Amino acid sequence: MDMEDFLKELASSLKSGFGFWNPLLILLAFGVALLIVYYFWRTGNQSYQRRTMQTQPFFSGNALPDPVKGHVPADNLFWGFKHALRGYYQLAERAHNGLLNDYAAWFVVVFAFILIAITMGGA
Amino acid sequence: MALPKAFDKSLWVFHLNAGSCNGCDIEIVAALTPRYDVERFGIKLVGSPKHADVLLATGPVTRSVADRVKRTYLQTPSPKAVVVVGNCGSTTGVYHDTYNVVGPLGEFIKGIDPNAIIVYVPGCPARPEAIIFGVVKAWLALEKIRGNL
Repeated sequence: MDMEDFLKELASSLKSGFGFWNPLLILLAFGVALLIVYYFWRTGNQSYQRRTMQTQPFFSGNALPDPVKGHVPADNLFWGFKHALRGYYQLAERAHNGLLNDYAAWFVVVFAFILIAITMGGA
Repeated sequence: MALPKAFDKSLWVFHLNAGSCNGCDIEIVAALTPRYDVERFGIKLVGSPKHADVLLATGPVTRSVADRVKRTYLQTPSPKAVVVVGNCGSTTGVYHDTYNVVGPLGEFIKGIDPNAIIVYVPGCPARPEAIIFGVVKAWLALEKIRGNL
């Protein structure tokens, strides 16, 4: 493929059932996004003094914990999800009592239910 | 050092408690109420010193809070001013020479930064009018840096 063909290919749009793909359009959108980001960055507070504590994150005045030793549990990320589905989670947590006999009972009950469902459906 | 344009419109303050009895802190909150309503002057309490132009500090500096006061001051972007509200911050007041008090807030800040702009608002507790006047004095001190006055 020579240069002319390559440029034609670049400028052309690929159409499919899901929409279209044009590399130049995507590049343009990327450039516009960069400009917007640069604008926001420029309007920020420029009076910070570099290489001082002014550029460090504020942690209620406390010393910043070592990021290597720091541990953020995954629960911090999906607590909203758990909160929204708390009706289900409360039920599920109660069912997780740690007793093997209960788990075996659950297995037997569900297995019996499926077996009956299959038998009834087959008949 | 140039002052940002934001100073033309408003001055954002961060409330820092360095071991106060809460008396001055209540008066700071009173300054926000509709009776005094400091927000009409563009004076606004913010939740982080990263957004603040002025530290509104109360209380003598207790040993346990000294490090935190130091970090909070150093993490506030320049140019900045400190308004020391109340007698305790100005002179340590009734906590003078107490074993767990490091010293007057003003002197403590001067120890960290000798060029710090500090405004003292005495009173036990300081009245809201005096606090507003102190913030205006801090604003004037910051304006002097710009050379407008």
